[in-house]
Amino acid sequence: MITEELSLRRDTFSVKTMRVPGNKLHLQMDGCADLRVQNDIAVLLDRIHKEARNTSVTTVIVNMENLEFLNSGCFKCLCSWVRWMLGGPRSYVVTIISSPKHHWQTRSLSALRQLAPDLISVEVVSNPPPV
Amino acid sequence: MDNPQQPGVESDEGLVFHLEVSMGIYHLTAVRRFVAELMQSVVNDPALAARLAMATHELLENAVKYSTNTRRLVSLRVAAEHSHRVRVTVMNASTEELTAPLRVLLAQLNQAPNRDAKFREMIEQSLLRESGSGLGLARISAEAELDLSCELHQGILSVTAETAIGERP
Repeated sequence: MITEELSLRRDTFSVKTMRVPGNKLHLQMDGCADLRVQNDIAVLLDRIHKEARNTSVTTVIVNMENLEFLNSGCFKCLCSWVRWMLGGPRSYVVTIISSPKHHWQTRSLSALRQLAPDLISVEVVSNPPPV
Repeated sequence: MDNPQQPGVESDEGLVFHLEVSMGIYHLTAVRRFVAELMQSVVNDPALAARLAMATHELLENAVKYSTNTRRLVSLRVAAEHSHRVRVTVMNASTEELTAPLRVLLAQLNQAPNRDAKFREMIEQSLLRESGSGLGLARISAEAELDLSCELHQGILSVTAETAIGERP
């Protein structure tokens, strides 16, 4: 079931968040994240971080298979999230699911992971459906 | 695209596409997708087409944000020189005051011995900034592996991202 207070719906971009068994949060990011949603993403990731910190969440899964594009401003929001994770008790990790069909993800997510390699992992799906 | 009859296509000059529009943020996704498809047909390399499309988006976003023209009149030129080089150029109204720091940044990016390391350094700097990311051009340099240049002529700033076709730096 989608957790509305941790989700976001805009014309070209959405984040659907669900609690899943095993003390996990699952974020499904779809669409194009550009200048129009930068502030929304920053606010949402702050909520997600606080939720994870203040509850028993141990893993946040971020599925970016259908995230067609992320601009540099939204990428900075993800970097800030990692910085918050590093700034206190390390109570949870983030697993990002990426797709090779979106070429930007390879380099961007690698750079993101390098900010906190112990806390961030990136899994690449095999045989993604064609774009 | 080598049909000289098509509007905006002048293959003898290597020009693939030229768009001039009063640009809004809501146009960017459509233009990026169009450039990705167009360049795939020109360079026959999905990864390079995606890199050029990403550069297009970031350059256009900068143009929309920093144009000194109230109508946000922006030009996009995409060119491929007969199997040699491919380039994306975005033009917008600007000033010397806005262009001077851009020249410094582009020199730093182009001269960085390790573009990935420079990108990581700029991510760290970005996290200290109150507004804006300052990462768009670094991303074009490091992720898209494109060389960047700029010039200001009669109040029009041109920023170009380019690379050789079939080669990665």
